[in-house]
Amino acid sequence: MTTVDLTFENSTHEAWSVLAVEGEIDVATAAQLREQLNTLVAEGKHQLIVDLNRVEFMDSTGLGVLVGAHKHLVELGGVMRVVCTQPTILKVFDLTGLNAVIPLADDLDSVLAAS
Amino acid sequence: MSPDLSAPVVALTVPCAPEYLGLIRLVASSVATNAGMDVDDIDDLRIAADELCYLLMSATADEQDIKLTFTISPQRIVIEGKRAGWPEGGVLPGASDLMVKILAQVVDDFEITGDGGSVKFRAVKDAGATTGTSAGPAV
Repeated sequence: MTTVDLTFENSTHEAWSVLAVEGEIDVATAAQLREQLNTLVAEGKHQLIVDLNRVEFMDSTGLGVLVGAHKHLVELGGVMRVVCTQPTILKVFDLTGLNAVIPLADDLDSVLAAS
Repeated sequence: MSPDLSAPVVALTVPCAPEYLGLIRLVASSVATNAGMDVDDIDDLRIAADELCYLLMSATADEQDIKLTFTISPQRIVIEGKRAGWPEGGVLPGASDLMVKILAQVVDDFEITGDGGSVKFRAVKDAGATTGTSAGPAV
């Protein structure tokens, strides 16, 4: 059996917790992303930036995980932003209209500047 | 429409496991590149192959392999996928809302059907065509 892994990097910038993801997000890897997001939220990190700039592919499963995390955070009074400039990833947000639901930004600095 | 028997066909058999979706995407990209499609269309075909193969993987069927073909015509690629061992009259795998929204815009037509003991899909991608014309899956 082949194993497919995502790589995660956590950091903190002002009040924001940043989860930078690298790899391809599909049904084989989406559970890893869900677990990372759930852990951060359980740790009380309710201002979350998910950096997808090093993600090469994301399908509906990955989108579903982000939507679930976004909804959960909103219920808790938190916020989630997605940082991404990859055309392939932006395309799936655009196709599904989720770019109107989950705020997107080009980079970390623009999220920090707007907060 | 009758099939173009002179069209080149790329055939692939992959184990029915999500770990192989990356390989399927790679083949889809390569086929679209060789067919002269542009970057947008290559991306579309890669996304469609991923979503549709995942649907076949989620079907209740005995066969543990998925058989895929990419039929290449000028300005058009048809992807067909099939998984045998599907019980006649069984439940077809359901596409999520997100999946349907994506598929309806990345390919020009697609359907998911079950007959003859197999669950199958067929999707058509025309180069440079306006997206969003699919009637959606037959599920």
